[in-house]
Amino acid sequence: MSKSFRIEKRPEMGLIGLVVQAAFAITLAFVASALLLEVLGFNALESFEALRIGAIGDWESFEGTLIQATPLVFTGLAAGIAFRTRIWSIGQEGQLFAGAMMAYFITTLFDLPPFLMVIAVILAGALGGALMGGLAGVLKARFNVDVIVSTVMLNYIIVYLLSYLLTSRLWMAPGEYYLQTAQVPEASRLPAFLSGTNLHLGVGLALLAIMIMQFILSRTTFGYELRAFGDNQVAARFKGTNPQRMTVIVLMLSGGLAGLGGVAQTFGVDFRISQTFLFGFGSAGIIIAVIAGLRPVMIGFVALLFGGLASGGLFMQVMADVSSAIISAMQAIILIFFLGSSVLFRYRLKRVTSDE
Amino acid sequence: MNAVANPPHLRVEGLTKTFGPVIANSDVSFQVERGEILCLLGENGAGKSTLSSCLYGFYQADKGRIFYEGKEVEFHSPRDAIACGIGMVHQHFVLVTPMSVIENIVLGTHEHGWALGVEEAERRVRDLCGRYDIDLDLDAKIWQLSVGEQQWVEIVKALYLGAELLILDEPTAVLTPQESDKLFRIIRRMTGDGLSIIMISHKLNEVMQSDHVAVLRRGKIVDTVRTADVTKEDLTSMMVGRPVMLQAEREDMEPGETILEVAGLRVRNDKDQHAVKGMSFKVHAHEILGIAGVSGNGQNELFEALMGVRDTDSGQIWLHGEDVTHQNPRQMVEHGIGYIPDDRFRAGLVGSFSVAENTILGLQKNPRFSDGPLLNFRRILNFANEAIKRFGIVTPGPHARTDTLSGGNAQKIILAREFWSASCCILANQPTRGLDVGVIEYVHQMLLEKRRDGFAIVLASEELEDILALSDRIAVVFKGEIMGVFRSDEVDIQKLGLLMAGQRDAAAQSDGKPYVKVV
Amino acid sequence: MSDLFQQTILVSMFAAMLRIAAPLMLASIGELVVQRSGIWFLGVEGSMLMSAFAAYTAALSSGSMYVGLLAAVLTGIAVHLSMAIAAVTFKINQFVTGLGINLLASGLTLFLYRESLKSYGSGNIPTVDPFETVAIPGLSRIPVLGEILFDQHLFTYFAFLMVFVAWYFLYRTRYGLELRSLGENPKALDTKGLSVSRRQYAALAFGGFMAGLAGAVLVLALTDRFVPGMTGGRGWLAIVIIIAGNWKPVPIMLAVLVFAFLEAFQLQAQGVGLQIPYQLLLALPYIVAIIAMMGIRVRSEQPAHLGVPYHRE
Repeated sequence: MSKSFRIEKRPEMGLIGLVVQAAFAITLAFVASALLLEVLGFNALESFEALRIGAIGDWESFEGTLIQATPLVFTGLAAGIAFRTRIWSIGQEGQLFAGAMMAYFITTLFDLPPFLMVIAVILAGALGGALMGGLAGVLKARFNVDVIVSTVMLNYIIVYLLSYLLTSRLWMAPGEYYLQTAQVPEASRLPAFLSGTNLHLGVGLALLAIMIMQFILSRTTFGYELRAFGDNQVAARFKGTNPQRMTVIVLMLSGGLAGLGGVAQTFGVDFRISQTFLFGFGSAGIIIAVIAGLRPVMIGFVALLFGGLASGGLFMQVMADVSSAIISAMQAIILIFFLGSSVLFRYRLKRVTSDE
Repeated sequence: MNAVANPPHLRVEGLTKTFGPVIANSDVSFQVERGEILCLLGENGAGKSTLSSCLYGFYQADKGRIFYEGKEVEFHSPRDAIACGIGMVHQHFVLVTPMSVIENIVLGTHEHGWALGVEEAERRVRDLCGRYDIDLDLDAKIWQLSVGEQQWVEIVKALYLGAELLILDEPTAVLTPQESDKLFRIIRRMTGDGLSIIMISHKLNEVMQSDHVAVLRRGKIVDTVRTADVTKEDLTSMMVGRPVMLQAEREDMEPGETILEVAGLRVRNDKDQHAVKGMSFKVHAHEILGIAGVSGNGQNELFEALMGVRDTDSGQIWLHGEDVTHQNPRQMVEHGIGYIPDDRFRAGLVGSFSVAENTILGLQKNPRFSDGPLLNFRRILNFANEAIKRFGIVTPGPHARTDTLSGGNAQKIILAREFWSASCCILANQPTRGLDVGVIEYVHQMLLEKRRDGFAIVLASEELEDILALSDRIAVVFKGEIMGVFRSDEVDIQKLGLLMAGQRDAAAQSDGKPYVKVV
Repeated sequence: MSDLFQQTILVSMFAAMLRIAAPLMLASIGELVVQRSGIWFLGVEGSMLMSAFAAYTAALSSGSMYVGLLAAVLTGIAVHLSMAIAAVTFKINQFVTGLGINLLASGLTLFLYRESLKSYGSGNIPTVDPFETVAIPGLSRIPVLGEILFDQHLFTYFAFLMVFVAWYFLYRTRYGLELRSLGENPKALDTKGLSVSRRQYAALAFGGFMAGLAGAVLVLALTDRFVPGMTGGRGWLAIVIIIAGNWKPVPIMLAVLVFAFLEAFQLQAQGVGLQIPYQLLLALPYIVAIIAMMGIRVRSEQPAHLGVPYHRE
């Protein structure tokens, strides 16, 4: 009889495995980023301390983190639901723009009392994103255009559309120097979600969205069909799922979520649209969704972490003079390490007893 | 016999191969003499394919020794085995379908450096084909060939590489009876030239053509016998480990009303060519219509059209007299049609789902399993537990992931689901493919039970024996057409085989009687 | 407008088209080889971007354009090989890995660029001394055609040459046959004892070489500096181009020329002050990409095993 260890394939990854893997990848990514900073002549520890203070140093900075995390929750959920269905949409950024732009557009059309205006803005944002996503869906369902390609192209196109609306001064305030829209009306801005805090209604909506998506996926017949379709399109088709319809619905849902992210950022934080204000939420959302294993609740937690990075990154830029661009690099580094470590976590050591 | 002067062509000693906790082969020993056909007989999962992959260098054995012509050899890659003189014809052909026959044959040979050197290769291949009377169009693309022809490409591919010992994995699975006769004629010519053959099979008819049979059961060789000394029945019980009833009991029954009717159905395949070219047939209550034919002759497209997954070009489908042409899969399911797909993990199950979730796949909106938009997990679990008990599904529980189940148990999930949801008609496409004898018997019994209950059943199978045993009538398909319909008690296998190869005239001449009986 | 003026505009537009085509062509031919090997690599954009940054930094710090070129090519190969490790050896999802490479490239180059700006001092962005065009003696003197075709960068000649090299390789050599088989049915090679992964590594290395060159061209020939995000979707267009070209070298070349023409047209139109919103002209390649994809009915040459990791069951 001898005892030995054998490496064997793990049958499946549970929630705990996922959390461990994500934590592992994040830790490694911090180490790698620290090395990068040291190579460039920064003091990594000091920089990260600034990052931490900026993210969770006190309640106020934590509020900042929550607010930064809000659009990320939406784009994360948007990417999550699409990837879950194996629809490789990378259109979250464009859909976020479309949501913000549609909502802004209706504020230029009419005035309503504050409460109604906020509802109108939220609905318009969801609609804008859903239309943008639905366009990619129709292109796929009707013309068999790869979703990846169409969403990437639409991301570029919508930004040029915004650029046109600004440079033509259609959306710019008279006398405005920067390329940005006029401020949105007071009535359309998202009110406080918890009184006594800076948290706007979007934060609450994000929480609600997480719960709704979790519920849809695990409890409803639609979620069941969606999961079946995501794992095995052929079988789902045989059992009555219409793939074209499913693609359009999922992309509209995904786009609607991303559009809400645009509303949260524009009507809760910036109060105006500019190209740079909305930049980067889409790609961060994709990374968040992947690291969260496409699970809504996990997406919430990872988005919180990324929100912390974003809000701490600004503080770090001021305190340690590290360009806040490091944050988007770090996000990608986390993703790379997460993918890399998935190999490690695919296997496990097992003690075996053999009678040789 | 003088073993030193004349060592066996190939000898295997104590070969063991494991995959993780699964022991695929355990202490396997056998030998092949030059010029003989050795058959490795065993059920699915008995370890035949793993064994042949080890002989071919595709897998490396954990333990054991291989001697080629008395010399010990070690294969680290198929390249070593090829260099030694071993060739392999895989059951699922490994051909590059958009490329021509000759390109597939020269693929991976490097004696000309960078140049393709097709002309010289063509000459050599023509020689080979001429010697063994193999008829191949070297410039045809693989996808244009029938599966039988593709098998010849595989054989020539191996011979071109200089194989003297050929391993044929289930070589007749895709052949008509006549084609398989021809295969054995040519194989005999090869063995006459001093080539040796290892044939892997679970089909008794072809096993009986070999010189020796090594019977594998659960990864072990149970016995090696001279084929001339045993009967089919002996071999079956050696293979299964218990006596088996080869024929299912099919009671006589009067067919009832017409349930499914198809007229002039034309369906296109994924390449946009007609795969079903004007099929017409009727299936009645209490009746099983067998679809005999080599796979790839339109069976899949026919079933997909009947299930509404593939749209029809022209023609009509009626169910209980109601026109259901162009209806979608959901509607077809609601009409009471059940479908048992040929590839269960591709078309019938969601691998990452639990057993319970798969027992209701497609039925999630049925009020039994949901309340409005919400799933009712309690009732789903009850149903799954019932199915597990009734169909004897071996699983750790209803929450186990489906892709961890064996093929037989996975198939039982599909049976449980489809038999529950279907109310009048079952479409079974290769329902026993890749299953153990025990499960095959069970599937047959279930189909016969549904026949008794008054269902109309369409059954396609590559195993002629199954078709003959179960069907009331048999429709032979070839290239998307129905070549003839027979009552199974009047059928002549010879004629069936000719029709499966599309040879209507030869079939008509084979007994002088009219061959098409439209019932 | 005089005829001569019009002719000058047309000549400069078509010459610009060929110039602009070079990086797109290099990246597309590289990606063609990668996809033919069965790897669905979406990170061309990122690979080009990192190569462009490497070219810029290396050329500036060494003062040699050739060092910049070498740095770009090595960077491209390194990025592509990281995909090989992930997708071929570890069989990680190809879509997510390619995307990750793009995100890493855009984040990292932006950060490093911003940091390097600090060392150059504000408002003082250094430039490289770009490669000159090489007029081919005799041929470049042919009126109109010569000015368009034969007064180009060496990169442009090389890019067009590679189209025909790729064609010859794919359809006239044994290794080309193997490459085509790799994307269709890798098992056909594996069962003959030929390494699937070694060939996929080689294909990705070649793709990296080409993407690296493409990135270098952007900085060292078409402009004189690095700008964050300067690839501007060219890597994605390369993927569209391969689909539109049905995975065949010559149709791919034609598709490249269409997109290059759009960009050249846009530059020219801005120059002459056409009354169209310039954003529409800028968005035109992306709009055309979608429309082109809508019109595509034939994907007959799409490798059947594209994007599917190869496992020996």
